[in-house]
Amino acid sequence: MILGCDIGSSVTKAVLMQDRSVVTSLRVPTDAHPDKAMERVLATLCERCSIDDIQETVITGWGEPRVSRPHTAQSILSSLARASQWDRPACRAVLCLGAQNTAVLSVNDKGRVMEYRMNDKCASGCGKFLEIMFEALAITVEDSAAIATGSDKHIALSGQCAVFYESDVVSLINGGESVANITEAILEAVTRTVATLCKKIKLSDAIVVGGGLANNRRVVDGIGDLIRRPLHLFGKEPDLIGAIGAALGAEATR
Amino acid sequence: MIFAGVDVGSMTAEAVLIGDGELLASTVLVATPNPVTSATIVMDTVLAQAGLHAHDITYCVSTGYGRERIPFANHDISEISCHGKGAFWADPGIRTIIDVGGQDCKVIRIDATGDLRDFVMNDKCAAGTGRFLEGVARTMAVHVSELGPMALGGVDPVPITSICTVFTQFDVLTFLAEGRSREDIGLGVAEALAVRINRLVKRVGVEDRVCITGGVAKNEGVVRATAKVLGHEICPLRVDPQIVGALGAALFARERCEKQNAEGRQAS
Repeated sequence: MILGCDIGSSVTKAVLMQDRSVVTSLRVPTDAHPDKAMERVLATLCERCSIDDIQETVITGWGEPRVSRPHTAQSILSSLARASQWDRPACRAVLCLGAQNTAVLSVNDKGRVMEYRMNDKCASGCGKFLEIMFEALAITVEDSAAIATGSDKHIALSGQCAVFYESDVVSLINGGESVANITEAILEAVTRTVATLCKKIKLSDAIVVGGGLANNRRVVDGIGDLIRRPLHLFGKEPDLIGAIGAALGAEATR
Repeated sequence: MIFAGVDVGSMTAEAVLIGDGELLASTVLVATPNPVTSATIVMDTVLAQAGLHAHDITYCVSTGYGRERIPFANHDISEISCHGKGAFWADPGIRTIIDVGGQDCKVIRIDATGDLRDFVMNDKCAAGTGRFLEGVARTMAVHVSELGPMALGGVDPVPITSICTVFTQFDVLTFLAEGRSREDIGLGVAEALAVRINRLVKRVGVEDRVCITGGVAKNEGVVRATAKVLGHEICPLRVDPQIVGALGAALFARERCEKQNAEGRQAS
């Protein structure tokens, strides 16, 4: 069995794979401590199966360089490319919506990364942006898409900076604007930012979208509309894209 | 005669009273979401402090956010001009003013007569502004004023590679988890802010003497780090660096009043 881990800035995702199929998966909070997150992953796996059966551990994501236990490292881009073609062999592009990282890449028929753009310099367009905004609104990212459907007025938020947006949102709340309208404005802003990133590379029709934010219908549908391409959700659990891609990398290294 | 200047920022509001020559009183308060309310409160406070009344003010100039809406101001002038004016009055040798406010950063160049030559501003991104420090302070669960002294105790600064304030807060959390000292984090943060400030300074160039104004000027760690990155000495001003904009507004108030009086005399 192969253990694939994607240590994100917010959540650590882990999958055990055998013969290219997922045996079990789990998530633990990273809590800024990749080593401890890995310990928690292994402790949980111990309860489910014999971890002695793990032949190789492949790690990807933000926390990878900070893990001291022996492992194979794989870049997040390779992980995304591998996972997307495992899920959809015809896939030629991936969009990954993470907490502190939004990545868009095109891949060739052999799963090689051809072109990519990554937003890891600015929080706007990342999951963290929504987290901050919705904290101010006292709602969750999970509930936001449903709440936004109650919007009855368009509010245009200008600028880009998450920190400045937060002040704008507080002003809107104080001004008596409805939570639904503000939520819709925030989701629209992040959708626009991601779509702009996507337009920077040549994308084919078959785009797989993964990452924690991929579960948000408003964001995914909105991006699809703006770039005029259908987006296919990765597998049953889109946030596992990196971890599965990591596990798939083990075969390739052998 | 009494002249007043009021400067409403994103985080704080300042008011200054001057007489014919000297600085009479100044006040810095935390801003409310409404610029008019902030301006009114800070002006009332500075008047009370000086034992004066609103009708004692001969002329008042407003600057900063919502400056054109301040009901008691006779005139409004941009904060760029006001910072130039205020800094030049405090030290006529000043040629470059770096104003690091709560929500923006400006670099202002003035000439030997104190006139504005050039300026550049970042108000698009919180990196390089006071909000950057506020965010870090929040993550470290300290008051923003504690970051300066903390940085001075730093030996081995943590490397802050993120530009984004949000990501830097996360970096700080990681360093805390790794057991890095608060002093080294404070120093790393001060140096990171200095690098961002320097990036803006490079766009208009720098000429001695250089000063820093705004609330961030009170962070000695940032001031030292900026001097190091810039390769220029940062000159301390003889007034509170946070009131420079309001001081400039008050100086403009005096100028405009004198000019009007002179015109009035000519007309009669």
